Amino acid sequence: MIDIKGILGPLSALKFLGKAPHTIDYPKETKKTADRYRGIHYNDVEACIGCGSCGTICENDAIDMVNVGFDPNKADTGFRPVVDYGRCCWCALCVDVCPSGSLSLTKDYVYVDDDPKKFLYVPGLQELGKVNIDSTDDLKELAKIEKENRPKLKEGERSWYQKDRTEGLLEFNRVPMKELPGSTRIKSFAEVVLGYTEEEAFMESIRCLGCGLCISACPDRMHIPDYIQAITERDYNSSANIIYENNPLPEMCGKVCTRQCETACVYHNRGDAVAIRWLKRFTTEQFDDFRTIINAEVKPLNGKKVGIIGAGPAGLTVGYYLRLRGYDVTIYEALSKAGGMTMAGIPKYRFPLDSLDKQISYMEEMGVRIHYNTRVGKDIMFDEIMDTYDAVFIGIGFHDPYDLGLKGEKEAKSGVISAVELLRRVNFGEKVDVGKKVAVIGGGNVAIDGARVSKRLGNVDVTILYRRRVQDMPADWEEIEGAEDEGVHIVPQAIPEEIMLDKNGKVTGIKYVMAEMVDDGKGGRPRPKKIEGSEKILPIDTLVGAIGQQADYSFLPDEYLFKTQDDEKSGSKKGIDTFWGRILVHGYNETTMKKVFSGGDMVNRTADAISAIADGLNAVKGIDLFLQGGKETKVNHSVTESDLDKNKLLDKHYKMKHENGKLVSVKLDLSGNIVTESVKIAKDPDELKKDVEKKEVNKSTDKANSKDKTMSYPTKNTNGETKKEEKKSKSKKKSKKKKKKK
Amino acid sequence: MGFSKLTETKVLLKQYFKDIISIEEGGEQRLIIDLQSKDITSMINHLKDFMDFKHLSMISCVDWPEENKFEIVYILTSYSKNIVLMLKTKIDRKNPKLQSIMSLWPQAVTYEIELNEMFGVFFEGNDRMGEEFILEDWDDIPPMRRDFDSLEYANKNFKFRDERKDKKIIREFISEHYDEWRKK
Ligand SMILES: Cc1cc2nc3c(=O)[nH]c(=O)nc-3n(C[C@H](O)[C@H](O)[C@H](O)COP(=O)(O)OP(=O)(O)OC[C@H]3O[C@@H](n4cnc5c(N)ncnc54)[C@H](O)[C@@H]3O)c2cc1C
Ligand code: SF4
Repeated sequence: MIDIKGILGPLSALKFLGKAPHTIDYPKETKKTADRYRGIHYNDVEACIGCGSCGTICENDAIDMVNVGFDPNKADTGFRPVVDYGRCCWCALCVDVCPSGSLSLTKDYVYVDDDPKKFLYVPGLQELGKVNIDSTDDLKELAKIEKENRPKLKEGERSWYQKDRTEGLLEFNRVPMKELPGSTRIKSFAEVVLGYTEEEAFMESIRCLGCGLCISACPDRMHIPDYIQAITERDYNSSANIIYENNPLPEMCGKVCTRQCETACVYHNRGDAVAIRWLKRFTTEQFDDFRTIINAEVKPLNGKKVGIIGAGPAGLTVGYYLRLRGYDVTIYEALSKAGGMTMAGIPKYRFPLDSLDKQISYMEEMGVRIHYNTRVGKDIMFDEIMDTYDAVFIGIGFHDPYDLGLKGEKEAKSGVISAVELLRRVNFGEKVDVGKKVAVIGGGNVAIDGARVSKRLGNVDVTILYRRRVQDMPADWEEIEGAEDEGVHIVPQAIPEEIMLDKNGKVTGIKYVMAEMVDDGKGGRPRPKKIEGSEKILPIDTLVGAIGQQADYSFLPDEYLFKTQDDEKSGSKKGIDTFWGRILVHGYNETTMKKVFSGGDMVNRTADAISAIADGLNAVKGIDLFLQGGKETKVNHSVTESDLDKNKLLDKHYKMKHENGKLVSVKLDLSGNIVTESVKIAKDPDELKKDVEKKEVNKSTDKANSKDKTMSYPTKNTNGETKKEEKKSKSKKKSKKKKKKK
Repeated sequence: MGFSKLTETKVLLKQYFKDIISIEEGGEQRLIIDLQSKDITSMINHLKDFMDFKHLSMISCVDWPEENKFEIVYILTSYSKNIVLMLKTKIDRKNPKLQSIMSLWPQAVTYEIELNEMFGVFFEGNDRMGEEFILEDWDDIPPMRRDFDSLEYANKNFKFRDERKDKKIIREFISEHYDEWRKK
């Protein structure tokens, strides 16, 4: 049989007749080249984050990183690649590995120079003749011009332009984490997240490029790439040791950390960040007991004693690392267990008890002494601590819930409970009866925890009432989803008005009114405004309040509180200074009072466990300096105006004062004179945080606006462009100006 | 309804070559066949002469130092069946030898010389074996082997320019300046 197909087959190529060829130019164009041409990389300097992956992978060592001079944002090193075209072999590995997708290669020659010795170019900036930039605005503008002026690719023509490519060397999807299904979860307090297997952890760990940008976002500056690298080498022992270098509660962080590091991961913008938290969790889960594997050196006692108030993450960190440095440490803890809010607040389905016990018992073995059930101010006086110890650390956290301020709250005899109290009682194994219907007020993580715990207390209907929209909730998105999965009902834009009570003072319902979101008129986030006549009553058995907490400073006697100038004139010592309920600290977490240091929730604004640990570590350095530094101590126990500014203060200043046995705050001006008397700090801390953030944003835009925005191109041709090129770039500028005028 | 050409090819090949390690579909109109090295020449012969795989698209190689193997890959195409085959076989990395297929396709010579230069695989019966392909006066291990350190080679053979004399390892350089740029 004659194979007709074999004869006709080649004719099918005729269908390409008349189509533009992909491989050759027709009619043939010879490429125009200049005398000294170099350069085949493009870099979108705005998208580039300076991670250095290009230079690390280059098999020819053709890339260095240079500081181009501007002040970078978080998750940007401020460096940009400079390519040595005497070495580049055009292999495009650098493009394939570029996680931001900013780098690309072309077959055009981008840079031209008369000087045969010039080989080094900063792609993305050198084309524009400007390798030093002043600000991120500048950077943005330059990146825009550069992109606009790239030669356009012909149809069908490909370059190593990576932005939308998913193939290549990078894996943008994270290894998913297995969880219990929602319906199973609510039946018990069993841990929801199941953890990675060895293989899953390996697959996730090899995604890490090792650039270390995440470190800049971690309050505690953990050595993230190093411990992930150890996982890829399956050396879990070193991984755990690296983690323990600056985190004594790694398993807790591995389970519940707020993981700010992941937002700075190079993958974050184009895919899933490396699961840094889960990897840390994986490492710590490989060991039942840390004693055998952590080879921390415990120095012999040096004779100095440090007293610590509160065994939360902050206090424990101070205790552990000071003990390693040879200090005799004693922690006073009001509760019967250590861990602070991570013990008393965080629900056990997120952070199980045995996991906490494992970490605390390791610390105690290392010589950290903890006196449980000892409340300072009641079981032992603050004076005594000040007299006994060479330095004192205060880390008492925020345990005092805000009142809801609702009608009926004071009269209620039963059925109203704060989320922190509910969580504490449940976590300490008490039986709590919340009835069959629960409403939770608040929109933060504590509110969600309160709701999800209530859900687990039996067949309970749980509703969250929140003033604003769901997308405004300060709680983590995962937590909100988790709650919804478990059947928690969320009612947004609901403002509670009154607690309904029966004649015995027992809660029967909550009256709330629906709100519409209105523009606040100042460009801020919309505010809820009550809709008249939309009142509703939700019948409930228990109302859980979760609108924020504050510190309980009642253990501090008056003489240790900050003095106004008048007091100082009269000769009394300067005490511990606070602002909006937070203790003011300096560089090493020293307070305004000599030998007193402080950290954790009642100092920082991020109010999470890792920030408390970071505060603790910082205080360890400060206490060490203070007690060993002799006269040369760098620790500075006073407040200056610039410190106040650093602490992100608004324009006024508060102080704590005892009044009728209760601590209240008093408004002061910067020199410490009382402005107004007696205001209780009752502002929702979320609101406060937002206010401060807003202030900062305004400040930075003000700053940017005030800066001269005109960009300076070198007037003299310093980068040695040919005449023709120079003209071209001039005309670029002109056309830009025109555009601006329009 | 008959079998598709792909299934038919799969079934036929399985019948003829009992020792096939695996044969699976690798996409639309594509088969990936894993073979023992002893079968490779007879399989290619059979495919060309009796099953109309007339076109040799390319020969390539993958280095698996962990297993101490080279994997040689042949890609054949049949225009009548509209099927692309990928034949793979693993050979010993210490003594990498395979029969040349230049008698079937003269252009195979070039691929074989290239693999010889880049990986050190020897093709018996190829009379141009050992000729220089693109490397001149190469005096190191074949450069596409994974144990060849290109960076080390580049740094041994090429100087850094004056501006880059104090070149640092990038990660170290960045972390050195770390605190400076993150302070803000
Ligand atoms: C419900 C809830 C969920 C949370 N979830 C997370 C989370 O998922 N991830 C995260 O990172 N953070 C979370 N946090 C925040 C985190 O728990 C805290 O930021 C962290 O515990 C703060 O540590 P700290 O050491 O400053 O204070 P705390 O942990 O509050 O510890 C202070 C300790 O001091 C003790 N104390 C107080 N007064 C005295 C006194 N007078 N005498 C003796 N001892 C005293 C207290 O009993 C307590 O043990 C959560 C908080 C809550 C309330
Ligand atoms: S193209 Fe290749 S050789 Fe050139 S800089 Fe990038 S990685 Fe290095």
